[in-house]
Amino acid sequence: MALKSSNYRTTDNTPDQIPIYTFHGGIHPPQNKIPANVPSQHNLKLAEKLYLPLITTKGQKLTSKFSISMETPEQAQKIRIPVQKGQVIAEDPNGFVPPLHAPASGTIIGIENVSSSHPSGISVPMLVLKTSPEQQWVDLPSMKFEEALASPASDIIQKIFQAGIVGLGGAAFPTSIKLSTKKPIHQLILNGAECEPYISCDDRLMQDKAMEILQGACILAHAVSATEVVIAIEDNKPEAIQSLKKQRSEFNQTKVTIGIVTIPTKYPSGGEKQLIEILTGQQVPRGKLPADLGLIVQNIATTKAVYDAIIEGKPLIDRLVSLCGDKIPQSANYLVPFGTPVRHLLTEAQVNLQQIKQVIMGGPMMGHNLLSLKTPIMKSCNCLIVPSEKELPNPLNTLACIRCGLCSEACPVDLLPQQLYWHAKAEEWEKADKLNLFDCIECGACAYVCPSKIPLVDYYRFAKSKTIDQKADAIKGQKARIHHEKKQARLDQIENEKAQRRKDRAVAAKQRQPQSAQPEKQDNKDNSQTLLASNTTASDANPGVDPKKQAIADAIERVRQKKLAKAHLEQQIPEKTSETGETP
Amino acid sequence: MLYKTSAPRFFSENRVSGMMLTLIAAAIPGLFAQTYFFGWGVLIQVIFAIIVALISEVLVLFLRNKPIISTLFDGSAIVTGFLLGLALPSVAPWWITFTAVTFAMIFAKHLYGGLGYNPFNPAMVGYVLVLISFPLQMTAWLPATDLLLHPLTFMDSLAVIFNQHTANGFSVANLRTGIDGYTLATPLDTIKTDLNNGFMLSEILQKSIFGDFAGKGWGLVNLCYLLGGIFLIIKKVINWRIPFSFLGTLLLFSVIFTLINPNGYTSPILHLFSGATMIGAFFIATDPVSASTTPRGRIYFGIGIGLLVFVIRTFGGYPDAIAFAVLLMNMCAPTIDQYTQPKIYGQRTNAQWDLATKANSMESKS
Amino acid sequence: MAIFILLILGLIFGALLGFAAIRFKVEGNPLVEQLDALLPQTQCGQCQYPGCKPYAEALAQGDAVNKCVPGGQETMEKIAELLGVDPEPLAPENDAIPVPTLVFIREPDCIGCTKCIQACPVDAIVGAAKHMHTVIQADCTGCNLCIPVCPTDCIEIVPAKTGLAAWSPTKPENFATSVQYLQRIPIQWH
Repeated sequence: MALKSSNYRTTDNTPDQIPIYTFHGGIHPPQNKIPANVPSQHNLKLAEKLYLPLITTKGQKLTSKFSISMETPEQAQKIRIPVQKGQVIAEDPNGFVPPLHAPASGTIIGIENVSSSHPSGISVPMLVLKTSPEQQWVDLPSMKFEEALASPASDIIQKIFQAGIVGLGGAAFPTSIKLSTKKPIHQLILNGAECEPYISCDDRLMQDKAMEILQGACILAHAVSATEVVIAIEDNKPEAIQSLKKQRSEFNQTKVTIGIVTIPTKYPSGGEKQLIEILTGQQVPRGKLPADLGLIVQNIATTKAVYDAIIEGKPLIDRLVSLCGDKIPQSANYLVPFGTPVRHLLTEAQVNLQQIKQVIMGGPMMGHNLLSLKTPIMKSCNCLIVPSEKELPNPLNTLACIRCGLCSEACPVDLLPQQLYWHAKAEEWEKADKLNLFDCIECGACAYVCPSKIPLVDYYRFAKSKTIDQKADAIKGQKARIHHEKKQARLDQIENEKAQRRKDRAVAAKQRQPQSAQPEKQDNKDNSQTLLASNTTASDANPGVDPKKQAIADAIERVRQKKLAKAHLEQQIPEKTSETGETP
Repeated sequence: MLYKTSAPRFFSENRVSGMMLTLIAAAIPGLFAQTYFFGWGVLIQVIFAIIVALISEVLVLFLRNKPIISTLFDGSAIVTGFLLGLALPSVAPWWITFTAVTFAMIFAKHLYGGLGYNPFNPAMVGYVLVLISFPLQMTAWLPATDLLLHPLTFMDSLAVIFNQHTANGFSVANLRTGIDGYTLATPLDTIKTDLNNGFMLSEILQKSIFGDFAGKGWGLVNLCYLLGGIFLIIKKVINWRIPFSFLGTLLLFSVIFTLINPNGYTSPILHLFSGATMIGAFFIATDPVSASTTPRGRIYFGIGIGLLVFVIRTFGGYPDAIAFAVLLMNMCAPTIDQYTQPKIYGQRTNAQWDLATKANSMESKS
Repeated sequence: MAIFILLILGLIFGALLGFAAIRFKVEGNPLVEQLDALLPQTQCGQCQYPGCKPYAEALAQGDAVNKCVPGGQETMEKIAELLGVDPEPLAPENDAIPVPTLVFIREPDCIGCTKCIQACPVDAIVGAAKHMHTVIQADCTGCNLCIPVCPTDCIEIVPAKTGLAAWSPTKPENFATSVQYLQRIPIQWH
């Protein structure tokens, strides 16, 4: 149910004062944000080698634009492909995943299997780019703001795709696909909530690059033909709100109305569906998208990337990453080119690598641990936390669930986390599915409030993967059963036909003179018309002419020998026992 | 070497032991009131019950090979003993308390799997066992101290509980004699017996046992439990739905029946502030493990308890019915849960969604 | 009087039950369908029955519940629960959690004899006499019945899922087990 929050009741019609609602549940964890006056670090030294994965964390494959053969070590040593900064180095043949660009100029020296940023730490093949001291961009097709607003929307969307832009809020969904919706959109919402503790990269962007964000917002609005832009910012970021409002007053455009709305700080108000409920009071119906309500939600960093791509012509090659935690002497937001190994970033931030125990990629509530420091930073990484033991202690004592119901009060999707927990524990996947397990956004609010300290989010991730497996198995089993039944029916039909034919022949033979033995023998050989064995063996082929056939003949001979040897072995043992058994 | 932790890495301050401690703290004013009005027996019973609960829990955990210290410290055994000590009569013999507590801990809690797995409220299971098995001792309630002919000292209470006689040789039956010489029962018991005998409520209320506003002593005790309960709701240890729906239903039905026949039924005030109503509403019915968990389910659960309490008190055979009502509704709790699941985000009916999208498209056109 | 009332009630309820027995009669034995739904449909014959449905019918007659090898521990427990019998231990050489596998025909060695096509219980191999055979991996159930009949030994077993698809999150017990050290994190390959 949507409730009106009394602080923000609208009385006038300015675009900033709109009625604010609230979503069910939510929690207030400690914020631990980097102070707003710490500037962002743009002078990060370029890493010696950049690692660019060819398989995304969702399992999508990209094909490298260069043919790299690593079959022999000598070949691997010789690979030297020069690339310029911003050059396309890998693409998706299906056209779904936007292309990958070189974040720096240098030479590609091969492909290595490096631990990816997937929670499993699985190694995926990555292009290794050795950076050179001099950096050179490819030609950048820049354009003016007015030109961008005059170009057709499809061109803009195509350019966004070519620039490799994906959602930079963490989900990394291709932006161009989101923008290509056929539904009528009337409002673009920019998600500046950044509700998770520690993360402050969007905050920094809004303070430093406010004009770029506003221009990017207008370009996005133009791409979907929206007439309103609403930028939602939590009230713990007053400097960002001020900066955007100031730039808006100096921004001369009349095509869209830009509203900058302050929303109360609550976790997880930055979730797309929760943000929509806060700003409009409506819930996105199950199975539908925000576009069905005429809304599109984009992250602030994505908007700035769109500005870079369209106006400056620069593809997406770097992003702001919040580096925080007690083990970091100076927490700050760093501008990190993609492919930078985490180890390099931590060393540059003066972290003592011997003393760290955990590195978390993402926020503390929804992020996952890195298993290797060689993992490169890619598009979906918005934060790196290196905490001390005291800062994020893990409660080691989990008690039984006391059914207090605090979790269902905290759930922003209004689920029953307790029931989902019981079913996940008992491995009853159908029941968990009926309780809407797949609507869970894995925000962690339920585990936060649980007095028994049960790792609820882990249970749901486990349950989701097992439910998907079970459904897939059930479909496959169903298919297998149908195929088997069809095959049985077919074989039965063939048997029936044979029996029928035999009966007919017997009847016909009885009516003629007795010579019935030979026609029956011919019937037995009359199998070639059916799919039954035709018993072709290599002995039918011309001996000794074709090397392939010779190889096949050799293989068959090998197998025959193997079988003979096995049979002989089996016979020897009974022979021996019969020898000992025979006692005269 | 890096290690891996689980989301979310932040946790609130809620702890099971903290919730149990807050519960006990909220019941302390009621405990003091009850001791003040009904003698030292109350405190002795409570302490004895807690000790027995802890010992029986240690024994069972040892048999089950479970970690002893961490389980003891989650406080649930202490709460069970505490509530049972308050629920049992203050002069009940020690073996009644012993039986009730050990049965509650072993059979009603640990045999089902321990904390979090019991379908029935353990304290109430223990109470019902001794109530049905030993009706004589369980109906031997001591009236308020200033009504007593022979008020009890601390040593007297100890002697009565463990020896069934005081030093002076008085038995429990003797002790229940009031100043005017009659054997006194609880207010609810008195009303029930006398209404059955044909007396009118206004006459019954003239008796000495009905003092302040709902039975001498009982009214103030219940008031203390009410305040403790509200404290628990503010602290978010319990949810407001169960106590308020229970009390509301009880109030509603008692008001209806009193309007029909003002002198033939117990008055609403007496229903709410006499007997174990308030402690039942805030401390017993709200036991999270055995109660319903969904928001709407909790309201139905409370309504069910209120209805059953009223029916049993008015038409049934027992003067006070909290234990039976709670146990009967515990049986229904899983069914209630199944049929009262909340509508999750995005699960509106089609009509509402069509209306919302129409409103949106109209806005965008204008 | 009471006897009379009970007699009447008995007659009424008896009539109702008889009516229900005829009107709501279920054809066939629904137990066999339910058991068949629990089995993995590999049609491999390792249970010594020619397919999953015959084993389901045998189970309905009271056969042992621990014969299904691809189903593993999970299927055995579900069957035992449905039939109301005790779960029995699987044979020691069988895995409790079998790894799903598929088969793959090495085409250079295939001679087009169609023996594997006949052996496959679910028609997952496509081909014809003296033509190339190949496995439709989407249909293959991993029963491995084609492998012993191949005269050139050209069919090999490959894992059903590789890479990221093979990983799945583990079941948490409590936060203590969630704190896992780098070297000892088990990667689930099924």
